[in-house]
Amino acid sequence: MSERDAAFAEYFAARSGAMRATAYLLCGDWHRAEDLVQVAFTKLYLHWNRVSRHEALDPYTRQVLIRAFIDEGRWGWWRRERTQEAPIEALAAPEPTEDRVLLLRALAEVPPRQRAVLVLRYWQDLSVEATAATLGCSAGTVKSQAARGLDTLRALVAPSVNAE
Amino acid sequence: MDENELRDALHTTMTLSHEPPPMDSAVAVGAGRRAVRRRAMLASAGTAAALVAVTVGAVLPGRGLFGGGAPQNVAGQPMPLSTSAGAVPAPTPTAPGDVTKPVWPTDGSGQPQQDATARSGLRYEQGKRLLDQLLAVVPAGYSTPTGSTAEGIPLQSHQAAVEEPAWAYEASAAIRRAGGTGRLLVEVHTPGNKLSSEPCALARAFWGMGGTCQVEQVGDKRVGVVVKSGGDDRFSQWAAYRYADGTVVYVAQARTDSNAEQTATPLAKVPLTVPQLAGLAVDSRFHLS
Repeated sequence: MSERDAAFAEYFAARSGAMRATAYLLCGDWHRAEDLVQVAFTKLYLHWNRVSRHEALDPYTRQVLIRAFIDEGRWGWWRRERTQEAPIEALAAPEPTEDRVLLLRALAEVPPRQRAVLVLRYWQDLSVEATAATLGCSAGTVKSQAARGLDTLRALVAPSVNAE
Repeated sequence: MDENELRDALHTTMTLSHEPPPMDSAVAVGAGRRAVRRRAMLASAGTAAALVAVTVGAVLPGRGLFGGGAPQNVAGQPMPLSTSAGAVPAPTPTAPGDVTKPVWPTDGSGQPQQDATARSGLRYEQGKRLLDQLLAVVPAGYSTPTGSTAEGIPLQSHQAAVEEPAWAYEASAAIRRAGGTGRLLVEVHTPGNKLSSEPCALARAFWGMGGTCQVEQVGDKRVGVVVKSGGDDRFSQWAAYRYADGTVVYVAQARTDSNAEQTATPLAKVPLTVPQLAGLAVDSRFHLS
């Protein structure tokens, strides 16, 4: 394995899990999450020598991941090369917990761009500015999208909570 | 639900989730290698249509550069992640508030671009001409090989990519002399970019590489030249100039043919002196619109 491949593999091993978790919150599906991660890391591999400064790796990979997610709606769902040969359902334990499912379902109802803002701001804990840079928009847009996303979530979650 | 409640809920959700096993690094490396081979194959095939169909990044809208998209033309390399502008090409929303459906500029086909990179039309042709202009300024005594590096990176490339609201053009050409192969690159940002007006700040911003900068006077123009990179060996030296209209030109030189691990024998020394490099940065042939 070349030095480049070794460095890439090391970074993948260290960060693919966190990226996959982010992708999972965005799409609510482990298969799709892994495909998004693979898209992001394959693109990173292509640019590896130009993204050699390691402080740039996370922002770059996250940016590609988010944009791939947002862009799904435009281009449809394309099956990517998989890094996990076995079916995920067979490997992951069942996990039905009502609150968890409720939140994922509610998130799925939030428009993709707003959802991305919510996940970047409140899961990844990115600043408004960093979120704006990731999404290629202004800080003001991030703030308004976050507010609208929270409003949407609140409206979706409240009836269920009230019904209990 | 407020911000803190959402933050707690997200973390609780992930804590309760049973994640699948870790993804396999070796498979990811393999996928990356295949993507490199595909890119090389497509570049040699020389058909933009094939590139559109297969390149992994083709579905991505961002730069990348810069960032996203399939940021390379037929014979093109991807634009760098850390462009001088530090900005990722951003799609234009279709309507106020409707930021989930970006629309790229119209390509030569009359259809919206599929990502930041123009693959036909005026912008594409301008990028192509930039490569011609770059080849025209290669110093005497150097040949300009075509083909690809050992890792499949084209030895000549060009690209035009939107960086809302500006455009960025890039052309790169390998140069060969006495068994060594190096590279020249020119990158032009049209007015509307957010790059610095100060010569050395502008120069050090190039691909985020920093470095030791000095100001060269070329006639009445002040050009920032990084004469020693700051530990980033992608280029040896580069010059930066910002025109009064906001156009920014970078000209860079490297002793190696690419940023790849495996390169051909490097040039014994860079082809241009610092004054020559600064002179090219103000060359009117690179002043694109």
